[in-house]
Amino acid sequence: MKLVCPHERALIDRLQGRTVCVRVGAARDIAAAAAEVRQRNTLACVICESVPIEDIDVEDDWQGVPIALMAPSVGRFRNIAKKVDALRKLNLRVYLSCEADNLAGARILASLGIAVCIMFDAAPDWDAMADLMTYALLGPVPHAPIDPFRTIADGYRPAARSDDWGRVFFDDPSRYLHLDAEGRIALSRREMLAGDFVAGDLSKLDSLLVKHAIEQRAAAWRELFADDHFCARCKAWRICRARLCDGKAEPDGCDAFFDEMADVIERRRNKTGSRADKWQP
Amino acid sequence: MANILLTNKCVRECPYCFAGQEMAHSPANEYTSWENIVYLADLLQASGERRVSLLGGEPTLHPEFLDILLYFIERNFDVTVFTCGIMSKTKLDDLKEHVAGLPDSRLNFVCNLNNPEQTKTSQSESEKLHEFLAALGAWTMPGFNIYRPDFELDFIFDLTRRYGLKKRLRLGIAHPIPGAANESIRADDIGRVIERLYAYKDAFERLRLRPSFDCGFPLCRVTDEQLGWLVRLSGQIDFKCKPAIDITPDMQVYCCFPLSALNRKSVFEFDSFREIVAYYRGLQKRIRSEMTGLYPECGDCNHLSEETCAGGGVCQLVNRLDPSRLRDIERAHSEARLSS
Repeated sequence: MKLVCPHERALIDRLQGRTVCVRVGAARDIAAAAAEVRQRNTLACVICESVPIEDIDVEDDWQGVPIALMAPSVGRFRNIAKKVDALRKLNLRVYLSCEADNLAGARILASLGIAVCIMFDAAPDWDAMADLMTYALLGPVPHAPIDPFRTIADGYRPAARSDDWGRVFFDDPSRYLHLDAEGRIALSRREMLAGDFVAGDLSKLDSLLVKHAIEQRAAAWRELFADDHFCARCKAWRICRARLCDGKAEPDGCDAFFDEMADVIERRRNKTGSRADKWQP
Repeated sequence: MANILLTNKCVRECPYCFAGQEMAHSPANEYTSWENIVYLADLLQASGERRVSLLGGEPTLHPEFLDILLYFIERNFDVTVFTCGIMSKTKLDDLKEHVAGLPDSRLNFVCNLNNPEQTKTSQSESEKLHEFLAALGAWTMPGFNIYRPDFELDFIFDLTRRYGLKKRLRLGIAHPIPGAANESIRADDIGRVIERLYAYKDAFERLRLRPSFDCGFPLCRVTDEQLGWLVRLSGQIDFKCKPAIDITPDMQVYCCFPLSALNRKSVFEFDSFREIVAYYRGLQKRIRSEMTGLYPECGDCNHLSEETCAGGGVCQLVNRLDPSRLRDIERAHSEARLSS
């Protein structure tokens, strides 16, 4: 279990021996936060709320630090060209919202060897998203991973339960719990920001209370079937796992997108030969 | 090499323009998208291509021209930009700032120069060209399209000296475009063109400026003396016609501007750039099997059979073919691909 927490010295000290994703508000704090966590804990990564990639000053002491850079945009390539080498050398994934410019930006960065992840944080242009997904999975030359597509494709099993790909967004309570500055525990960042905690104190981290909440969340999909939710009848269920169903009265194009994605994954497996599907030892 | 047309817009109206027909039929507000730029970079890389040309219209009119140029450089391509050099001061300053550290082997501007004495050129056009050459002369190779037999080259020698341009002059012959009224050189005038060029022998040698021929120059119109001079000065001179693959902003592909209406395809119909080249090479062969060369004697010429001369460019030959026959060839070529 990894703990996602803010960069608060007092809190980090209380997490002794844990695996921690530390969240910082500015790129200049990355190295210091990583060093602090590593004194007593295992650092999973530094999650950084960043400025656009074109405005980032890459620092030498980011080397060896796993970084999740949450950037609002990529910016103009002319301002990035001189940073590409430095960015490529880092253990970095750039997170971008799903606006049209960012989809193009993600493709550019990935084609240059910089790992990216698109977030489903607004109403996406599903056609553009499908185009990027196809590039991510079937691109003719090697490029850096474009997530969540790579993770979804790797974990997708047409005849079994697929992996929960929410982990690429740190949104999977079976792997990530979120703490606020006071050490209160939430199952997701969204719930943490909404003040919806499953335990009010860090001491409950290993309690049955938290364990039970995690198990309940893992089984929450059953309610969709019981309620006859449209996601439960969707042909893309196996791949999407209703991750995007919140607040929707009906599919907004997501069903066609994930259905197409299942086809693309199949083509990818036929192209590369999937070890996962082979029964032979 | 692939020619990527970033836009169909242009700021000039050259009397010989071989892209005019193409531009007239394309939306003016169309630019190559980033998605397609990345796709093309991948397609070329997968085919082992390491060079790419950026064209237009005027490629620098693409709002993200500089970004695209730097992207191809970052992807390890050597880039040639065919430009008229006319651009805003801001754009020129940006360009200068960002290419300053690049070796001239990675980036080459071929600046298409018109003689202001012979081709209508406005004062501001001329000033902007000089600003471009002053800023980026070290990365720039002069280019000149010959569209009248009495062309004059003194201005190019002057510009080359003044701005330290690369010491190679790319010379093209303006070809007639089917259905267009562009000024061009008739096949019978090519000998005069070569003579005229040879008259500048001393000026070329003084500057050590090496002429290089674009396609369409037939070897038989060059005397042994002229050929000796050309080879001594340039090292190698080419009389072949190779398919130049042009890719439009909307990802259509064809082979050479003058043939833009012929067998146009979508890039997405092909799996590799090699396949595109092979397709258009095949089309050229079909056309050449109908008409071997520009002149009647081409059919019996050893240089043609030994492939040291192409007997003129295919674009010059198609004008002499019956349009209905040309359509038959086009159809047969498409069908042959489908059946294979």
